Amino acid sequence: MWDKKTFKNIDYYLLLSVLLLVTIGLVMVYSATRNNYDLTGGDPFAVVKKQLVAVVIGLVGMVLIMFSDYRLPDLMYQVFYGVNLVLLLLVLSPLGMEIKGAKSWLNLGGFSLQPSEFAKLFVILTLAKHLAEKEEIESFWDLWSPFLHIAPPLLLILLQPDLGTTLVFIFFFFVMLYVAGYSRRFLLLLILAGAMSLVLLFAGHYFFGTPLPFKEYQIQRMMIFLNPDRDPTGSGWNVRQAIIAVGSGRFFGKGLFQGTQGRLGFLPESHTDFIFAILCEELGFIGGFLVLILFFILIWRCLVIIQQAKDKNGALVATGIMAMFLFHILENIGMNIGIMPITGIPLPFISSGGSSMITNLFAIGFLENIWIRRQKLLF
Amino acid sequence: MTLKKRTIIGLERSVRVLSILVIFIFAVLLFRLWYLQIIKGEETFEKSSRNRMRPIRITAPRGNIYDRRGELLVTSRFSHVVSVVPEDIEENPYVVRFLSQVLELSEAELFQMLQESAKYQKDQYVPLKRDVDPVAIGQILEAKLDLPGVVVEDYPVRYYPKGEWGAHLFGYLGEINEQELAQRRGLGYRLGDEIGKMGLERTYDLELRGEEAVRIWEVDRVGQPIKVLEEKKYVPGHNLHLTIDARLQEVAERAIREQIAWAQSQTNEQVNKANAGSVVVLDPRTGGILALVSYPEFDPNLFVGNISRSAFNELINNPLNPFSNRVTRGKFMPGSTFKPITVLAALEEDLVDPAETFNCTGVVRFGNRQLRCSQVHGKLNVVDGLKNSCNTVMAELAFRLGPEKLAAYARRLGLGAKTGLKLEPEELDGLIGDPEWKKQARGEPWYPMETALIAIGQSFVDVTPMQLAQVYATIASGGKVYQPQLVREITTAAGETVTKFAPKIVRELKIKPEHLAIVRKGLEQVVTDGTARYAFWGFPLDRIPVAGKTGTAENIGKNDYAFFASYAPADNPELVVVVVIEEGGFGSQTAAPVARKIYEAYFGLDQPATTGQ
Repeated sequence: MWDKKTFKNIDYYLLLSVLLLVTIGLVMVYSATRNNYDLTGGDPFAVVKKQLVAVVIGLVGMVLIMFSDYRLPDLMYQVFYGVNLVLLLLVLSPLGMEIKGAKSWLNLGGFSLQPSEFAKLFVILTLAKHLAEKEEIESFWDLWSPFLHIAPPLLLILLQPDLGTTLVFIFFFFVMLYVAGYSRRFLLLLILAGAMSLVLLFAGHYFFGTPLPFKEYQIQRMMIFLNPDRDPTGSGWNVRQAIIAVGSGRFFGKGLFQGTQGRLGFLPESHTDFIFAILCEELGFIGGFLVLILFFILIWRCLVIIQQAKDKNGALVATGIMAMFLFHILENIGMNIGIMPITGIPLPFISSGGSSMITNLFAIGFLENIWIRRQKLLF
Repeated sequence: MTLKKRTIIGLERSVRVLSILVIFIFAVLLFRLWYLQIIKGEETFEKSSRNRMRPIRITAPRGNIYDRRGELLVTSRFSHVVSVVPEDIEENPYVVRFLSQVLELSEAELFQMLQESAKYQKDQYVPLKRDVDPVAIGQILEAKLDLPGVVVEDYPVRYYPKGEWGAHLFGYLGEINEQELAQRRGLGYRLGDEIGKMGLERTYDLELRGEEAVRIWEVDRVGQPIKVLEEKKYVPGHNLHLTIDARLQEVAERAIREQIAWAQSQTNEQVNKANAGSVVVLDPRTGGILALVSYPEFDPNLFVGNISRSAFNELINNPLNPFSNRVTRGKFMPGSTFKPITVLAALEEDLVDPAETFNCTGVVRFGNRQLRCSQVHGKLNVVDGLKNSCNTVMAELAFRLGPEKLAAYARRLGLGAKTGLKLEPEELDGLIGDPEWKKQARGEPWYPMETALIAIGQSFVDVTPMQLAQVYATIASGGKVYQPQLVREITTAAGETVTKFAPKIVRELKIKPEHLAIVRKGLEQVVTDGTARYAFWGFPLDRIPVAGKTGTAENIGKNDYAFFASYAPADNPELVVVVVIEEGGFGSQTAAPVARKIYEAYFGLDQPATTGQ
């Protein structure tokens, strides 16, 4: 298992780009939090230290996953699925912790977990297995069973409510169905139907006063995205501040730790949701471009791994992980530069947040695992 | 959708489609980044660096607190705060001297404040002095051009129109300390913020505080504000709508003061040391608290803006500790008000027949120790036992029950555990002792007489007035234990509902209705013919029957504590009233009249109040 060939087979492009992203992330988290007394309580390294712990846990897990077999016994998949549901249920129980209107955290004494982060990986693994076992779609059950598979965890996350993570799920779900062989026409029809029902919901709300299943702030964010000047209570503040931070960085940036937007506290959540804006302010277009390139390498390697995977299960796991990263990158960077609405999901490997970091590094472990085992078919 | 057989599309083709999507997404992100940083970059950079920016945070008005009818109990009034940028004024001796004169602070004090605030934000406006009087504000505004780094802003100051009344309900505000900041990390608190220090102000601080405004001033080289660059308006805090009835609260506040004054004017030395007390009024049908008084109180207005040191020290050094909420954190031996629990336990365990008669000789012997009764009652049954508060009957019932069963019933009714009231500081558990507890806590064996003492609410039993009210509410409601409640609803400043709190049943006791009826009959006779009859002399008990129990609890080294726990109307209870007067002597004489005044006000009886005997 630990032979030379295995090491030779590691995808070093993928590994290197991830390690670079993690390093950039730690530096930026330090930059964004060192003067925030509310978060650090006086120790400028407080948040970075926590992040570093998550990185270590994530890397150890990643290595362990790399060198084990991703094809687990059937029972393990059922355990994964169950553990995932239990964690998501615990969040909604009195053990869950509510922060800013969403019950997304589990408080475990000294530290807190965000089970919806781990849920992404759990669902990708179990769903890939489920889809891989389908040879052909013949019956009604064949067609709709993946939907039943994803519905329980998705509903629990919607109940928190965490709209951003829900969107991640929907995105990788459709991409996985597509790669698994569902017809494009069927998937497009579904998306269309979803969009239609949203339109009907809103039309019903404005013309007949039917209730909406959204929170006030979610609608507000959407309105602000559609029209940034409509800004009665200052909710468009974040977007404007982020754009000023990004723009004022120009080509070379203001220099590391020299950004003013973040330091003066103009930009709330600057170490999580808006860390990319801080990066662009301090490191300029060069920095932003470098991060985009690293993410592009990450996604590109994912696509190669999908093609080279030994079996359908592996290809689908890689597809799910690729789609998850892609959506996070698009949504988070997009909202930092004002082309996506604010939904508050972290930027992989860069934003502060232990659960997210651990999940993402584990995901890399699975990608490498699939890659290492690719050639067995060829040789 | 019709179902037809699908073939698996080739992997190659799907990956090709995905690749196009990926390239498209990255191209869009890159193009937008280019546009913002390269094409628009110069422009944005110019705007952000031409002058320096100084943010100021402006406290949002805290939410109001209303009573059940919408009467305003706590609100905010507008005043002014003087804020400074530490970096801009530190090296400007003129500004420092000016401010120290106008604001009546020594320069040393001022520098110390600057240093403290500079620890977390050196280049932002930080509040230097709140609630500054208009004359000083006028002087500062006149000299504005010579005072770079100084601004005057509106500032909402907490205002408690009721003064002392309800102080333990509302609590008071103070500047957040390091420890509170550490506990609330990540919730947006900052050094210099005001935070609720106790009461509802603390329990619901997050809801009440709202979101501060942020204004970014563009300042010139020396720090003189030029114009507002950006402004984020504040969101006012949410309003609390309480179950409290302001009218009953006032009646209770007045009644306990009058009663303590009356007691102190007596020549009887067992009564005239009365100095403190508690009143709880709640609705047994919902658990909603209508009035809550812990006396002595303090005026929360004293802590607003600029604290008066002398007034604060006077309160701190008061041996009666006005800050302590006696209703939830006062631990008392309940005395005879415990007796209904003893009777109920014996009935439920089928250890006594309602018709059985006991013989009271005025004293019960336990080996060489003895327990005295208030008088020789002769022959009497359990109902008479409650009516006359007979210790002999209780001792016999205690003997039959044994300490474990007696303790178990007291706990089922909610004693020895928190009631669940959400009010800071957190309520106490109280104590229900049993042999197991005594062995662990003191390493001593249990004596039979101690069971009898528990049965009459003495020795190893501690209750808070809140717990006692919950026990009587459970008797009044027929076994439903409600969580005591203070907040009915939280609304936004605009009046939209944020959270509604429905009455919450914690548990339902399976008590036989006929057993409960016997206890309730006994409690009713306490008022009509028993120990509380003088206190309710002339009260229209035919129309509004009152049921209750007096208590006179012995405390070593102190005078007896006076208790009255009650509910009315006895046949269909709407109100539970518990009164405790510390060192007030007899429950019937000192505590019951306070309850009577509250009933009179609630049922709209237009009668002159009478006091005791």
